[in-house]
Amino acid sequence: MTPGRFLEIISQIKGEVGKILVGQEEVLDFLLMALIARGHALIEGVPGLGKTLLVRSLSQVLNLSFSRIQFTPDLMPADVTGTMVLEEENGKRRFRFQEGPIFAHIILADEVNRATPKTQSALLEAMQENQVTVSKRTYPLPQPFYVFATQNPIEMEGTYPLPEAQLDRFLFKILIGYPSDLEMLEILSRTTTSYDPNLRPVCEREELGEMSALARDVPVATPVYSYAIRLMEATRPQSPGTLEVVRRYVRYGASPRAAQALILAAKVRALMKGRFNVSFQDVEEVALPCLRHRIILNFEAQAEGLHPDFIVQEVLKGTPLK
Amino acid sequence: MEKDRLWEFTERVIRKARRESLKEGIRWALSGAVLLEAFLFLFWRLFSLPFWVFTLPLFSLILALFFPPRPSPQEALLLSDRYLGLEERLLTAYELKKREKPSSLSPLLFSDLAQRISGVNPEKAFPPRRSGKAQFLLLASLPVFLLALFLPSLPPGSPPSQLPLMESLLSRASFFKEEEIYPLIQEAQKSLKEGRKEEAQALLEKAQELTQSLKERDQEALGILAQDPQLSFLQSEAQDPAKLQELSQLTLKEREALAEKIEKKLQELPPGAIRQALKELASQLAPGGNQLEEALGNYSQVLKKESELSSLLAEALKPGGENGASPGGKEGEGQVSPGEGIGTQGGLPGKEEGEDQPAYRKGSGTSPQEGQGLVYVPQDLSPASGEELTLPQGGEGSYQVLSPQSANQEGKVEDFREVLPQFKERALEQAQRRLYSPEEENLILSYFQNLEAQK
Repeated sequence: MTPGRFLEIISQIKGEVGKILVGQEEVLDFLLMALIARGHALIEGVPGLGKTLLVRSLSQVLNLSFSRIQFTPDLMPADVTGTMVLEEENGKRRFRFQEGPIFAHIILADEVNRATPKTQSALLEAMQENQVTVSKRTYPLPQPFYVFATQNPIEMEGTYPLPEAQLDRFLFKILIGYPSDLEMLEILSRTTTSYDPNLRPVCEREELGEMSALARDVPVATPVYSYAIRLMEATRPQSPGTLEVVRRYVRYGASPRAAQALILAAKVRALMKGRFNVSFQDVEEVALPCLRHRIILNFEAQAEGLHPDFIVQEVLKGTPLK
Repeated sequence: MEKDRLWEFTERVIRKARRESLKEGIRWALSGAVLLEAFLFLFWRLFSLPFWVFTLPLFSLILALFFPPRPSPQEALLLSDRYLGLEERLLTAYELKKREKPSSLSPLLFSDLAQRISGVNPEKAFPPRRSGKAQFLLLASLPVFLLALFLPSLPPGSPPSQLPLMESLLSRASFFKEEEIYPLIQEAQKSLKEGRKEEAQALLEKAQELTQSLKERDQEALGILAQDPQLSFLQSEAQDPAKLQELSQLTLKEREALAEKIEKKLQELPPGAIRQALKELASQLAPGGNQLEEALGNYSQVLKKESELSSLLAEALKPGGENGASPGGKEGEGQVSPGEGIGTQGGLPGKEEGEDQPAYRKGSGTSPQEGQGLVYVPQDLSPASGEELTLPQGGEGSYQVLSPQSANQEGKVEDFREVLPQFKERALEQAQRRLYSPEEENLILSYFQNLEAQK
């Protein structure tokens, strides 16, 4: 895989998805970064913004299998991972593992916070180890494996917030906003007519793997690594010399996995920008989606209506480049 | 080839960064040195100007040259990256060059970078490190330094009030320009300004000794004059300018005779201020003299000026000590004069002659109590009576009445009108030094206004 081919694929993906999805370029960029960095993403937005459409379109364009799981309070872990079924063959009965919907390249865990913690945690092993264990047997998941979970920020009734351990496994938390008036005009003109674009795959599964490998090879200078570490440490209230706003409002800061996410995402961003090295700006640009779900605010911050984005922005402002 | 050019570029950028840092270090060192000097001059006057004005900056310069701030190559390249908008390409390439396992993207990075810097002059690839802070420091320190140079010097450890005291001393000593006292006090003032306090102290002590010796010689001269019936009036009238003025009424012959007599007597008198003033008086009494009034005035002032000089010298030799104030004033720690206290006599300035006519008495000997002011006792009280009198006008605070017995030697009696301006001047001078509270200051002013009204 050459950087030229890398950029060509990115451009083609954007072109194909653009046939279906209007606007949301930044969201698409972050999703592509997550795909190339082999990370999962949590997408938060009100209903009707095209979250499902976006993920489905991506799987089509990338020629990957797609599975959508609607998370509900009565959804059981076996409904996600699969279960053992008794079957009879040649007069003999035996248990056979029936794969669940998780056995796909791209999983859309729709409204993931509606399921109980028990079911949510069924995703933990899959997300981290790319495998599921049922009845003491481990089944590897198809590669590449991605979980794109969505959640609704306004409906809190009857929901189960994702545990911190699971949140940490998402590379990004991407916020989807409303489209602009112009974009809305385009959406209406496409969706209220007989417009039905046919999305074509732009790359093979193997090429996605090569893109990931190329992105991991992007060199990073030591000061840039240090900057990512300092950013991560700056989110922790117990770090020496941390910002007052962090000490006051943050209960738990980002984990070491956050620094890995920062660097990986920055590498992909650099390549997507046609650069062969990671800059400070790359790290800054991916800091918000990388850190916002990893910062746990305390009660005072919640009482004052603060959002983790505010903390991340303050941390970015208060952390020198060197 | 492309790579070589790239490495040469990075090396030159690093060298340039170090040169800029050195310049920056020198700027900081000089600014710091000048500011330090400025404050030292302004507040402590710790050293003499000509030597340190060059030495301190020179020392800082040497420090900056031998221990220059050396930015690491990474720091230098980071700055250059940001200055040229290379988004850390230069820095990453520099690190890749040193890595054992370079990335597969390294050649692409080098090639991309080489292309981007192809038209860039390495000397201009580094932002000039003009620190605003260093320049501000230098700009701020120069006015402070100049201010320090032109402000009047403050002797270290001395209260600010010592400067006017030195001025007063010089003004009194100027009366005795024939003596060595004046240059000594001048030298002492200079030493104080330059911070050589001990030297100034020694000079003032010497000036005090000379003043004491002068006074003794003048007392001796007055004693000799007293033995001569024809000239004894000069001894007793030396402090009575009104009677001395009668000399100007003498006929030409009488003046000539008196001048001759004085000229002859001068041979017997020890050298001193009295002898000098008499010599001047004789020359003005002789034909052709047209400044007799002035000569008479000078002669009548000799003893008074000596006493004042002596008092001020005593005050100057006691750092932190201040003379007592006026009656009812606050207590000070100083003394009137070692060896010669200033007693005063008088009561309420009387309107009729001989009745509580204010005067003041000068006597030798230490003032009996430190920090006391001037007290009037009636003129007609004989020294033997030793009666202590209260102040004619009620004052606040403590005061000490000095009767003639409190002095070891017999003093001279003067009319209060003669000494009033001098005492008023001293009181106002001390008031200007903020030695009194506003209430005390008002009391002093009203006291002198009352006395002047009755004058």
